[in-house]
Amino acid sequence: MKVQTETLPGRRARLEIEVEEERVGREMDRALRRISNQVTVPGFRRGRAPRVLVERAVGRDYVLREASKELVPDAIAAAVEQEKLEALSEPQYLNMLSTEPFRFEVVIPLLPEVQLGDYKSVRAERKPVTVTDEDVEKVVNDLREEEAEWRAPEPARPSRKGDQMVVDMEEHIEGSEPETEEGLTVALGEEVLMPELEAQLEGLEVGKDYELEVTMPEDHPNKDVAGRKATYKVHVKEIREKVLPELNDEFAARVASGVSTVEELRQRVRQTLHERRETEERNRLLEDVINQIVERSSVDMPDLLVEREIDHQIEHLEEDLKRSKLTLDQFLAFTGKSRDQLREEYRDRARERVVRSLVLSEVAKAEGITVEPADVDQEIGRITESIEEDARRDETRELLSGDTWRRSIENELYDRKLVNRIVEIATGEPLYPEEAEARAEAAPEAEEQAGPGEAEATSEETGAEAEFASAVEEAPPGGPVSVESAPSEAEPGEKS
Amino acid sequence: MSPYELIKRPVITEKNTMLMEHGQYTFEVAPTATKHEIKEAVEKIFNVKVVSVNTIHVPGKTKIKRRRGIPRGIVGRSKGRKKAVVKLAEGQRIELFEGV
Repeated sequence: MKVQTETLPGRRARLEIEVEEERVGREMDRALRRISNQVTVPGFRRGRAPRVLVERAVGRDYVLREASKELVPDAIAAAVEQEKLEALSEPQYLNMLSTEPFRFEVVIPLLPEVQLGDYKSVRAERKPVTVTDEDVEKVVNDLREEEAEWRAPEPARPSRKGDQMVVDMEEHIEGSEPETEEGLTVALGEEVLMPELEAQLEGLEVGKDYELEVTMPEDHPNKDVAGRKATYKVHVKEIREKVLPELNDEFAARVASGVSTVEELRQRVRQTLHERRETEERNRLLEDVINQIVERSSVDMPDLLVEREIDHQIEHLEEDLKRSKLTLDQFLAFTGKSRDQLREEYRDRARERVVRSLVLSEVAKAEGITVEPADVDQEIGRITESIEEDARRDETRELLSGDTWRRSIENELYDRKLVNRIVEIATGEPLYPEEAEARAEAAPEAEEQAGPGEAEATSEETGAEAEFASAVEEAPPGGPVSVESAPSEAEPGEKS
Repeated sequence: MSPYELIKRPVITEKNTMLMEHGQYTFEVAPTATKHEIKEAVEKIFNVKVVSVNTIHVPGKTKIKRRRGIPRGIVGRSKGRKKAVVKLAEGQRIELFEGV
């Protein structure tokens, strides 16, 4: 076999392969045998016709094509081995150059090359999270707003900003038929109505009839009515004002379960806010660290990876759409985009994700981060330990021990270990300090197993390609390394 | 009748390819051909020595052409043929069948 290799930009290789005549002949013979079972030559039972007759019946091209099915992949595999290339996947492009001699060219995407930057010099700072009294009060007030009731003012008074009114209304726009609507609820001061109309609705009294003159605004979305005069006959049925609930223990107990006093409510709010900001800060910190690592590194890869990632994104979109009973085509029609435009829009983001994922798995390799089956067992134990009922606990444990769940737990543990490590390098503290401690105490020997030596062994076993594929392909749902799958969002319950 | 009119075409079937291994070749021949004529014709065309000739008539079959509007169809008959199995002298072959 003669092979000529040429390296193309973007981690691709172009090979020109020529297969020996003898090998081609052998494969043609085998192909003929296969074909002969499928064609009937008159005078012969299936598979009994002499090869020469079969070849004459189907044509030499057909036999050659059939032979290529075996010949080409074998030749490519052999050539890749011979040239010591690290192929990422199947060839992207294949072209027959000549049949005699049997010669063809292929373009093969190669494994990405990651130049890991000096990730150990990355520095970041974890900002302390604070919650002020004002923050708490604001949330408490929002809660009151949400729980507000609309009541008729006592004593009755004319309408004013902030009120709701229930009215019967006849709208007569100049040049069109009047339209009436009964029992319409309008809100004042919410800027839903035309300002001119809204201003006139203020100061009206319950039970009275009014006639309001309005000029439709020039920029009215409906061109037919823009700029016209309109008359509104309004009968005010009700005026309601917003009454905020009093901030007392009864209110506190109503809006938050397990809370019985205002002071407890404030504490609860403070705690929730704190947690939320803690999570936000963690995300920001992690993002910062990852960005810095990525900035210091460089990745050379075939476009195929980006395309695959785009495929994934679109699949995701499709699933999301399915939940709202839409198909991708409907979505495209609705947004007025073509499939290609959509892909184009996803491209940058997809590239970024792939790069990130590649860089991070390189960091993981360098740091010897692996997840052992024992770690997964332990995590399953931890998740199920809080279930009190024996039967249910066993059931859950069994469920989680299924392959899919184990893998998803494994991915999650891997993520957590990795982000802990990189954040620790950058700040001196892991991202989830408490957990890391708990883990270390609970199973010191499990941690030891995941030493760098072991890590190398596993990555060799899996084979570079498989490992890499999982890094990229599974990135969206709890893949090894993407910020989106940081544990806060990747609770097991969301993954099934 | 010229030898080429007499010998119409080789008959290549599974059975006949097996016979070839024994030096027997099968041809479709003119219905009127006699064994002697066949022997001479084959010897002349292929330049071989014929040891024996067996012949057989294959009668045509009744074929019914189904047609719209004609209840039982049109009865017809397909052509019959005459086949001759020619045995050549030991070690001789006919190139036409070669590779088959």
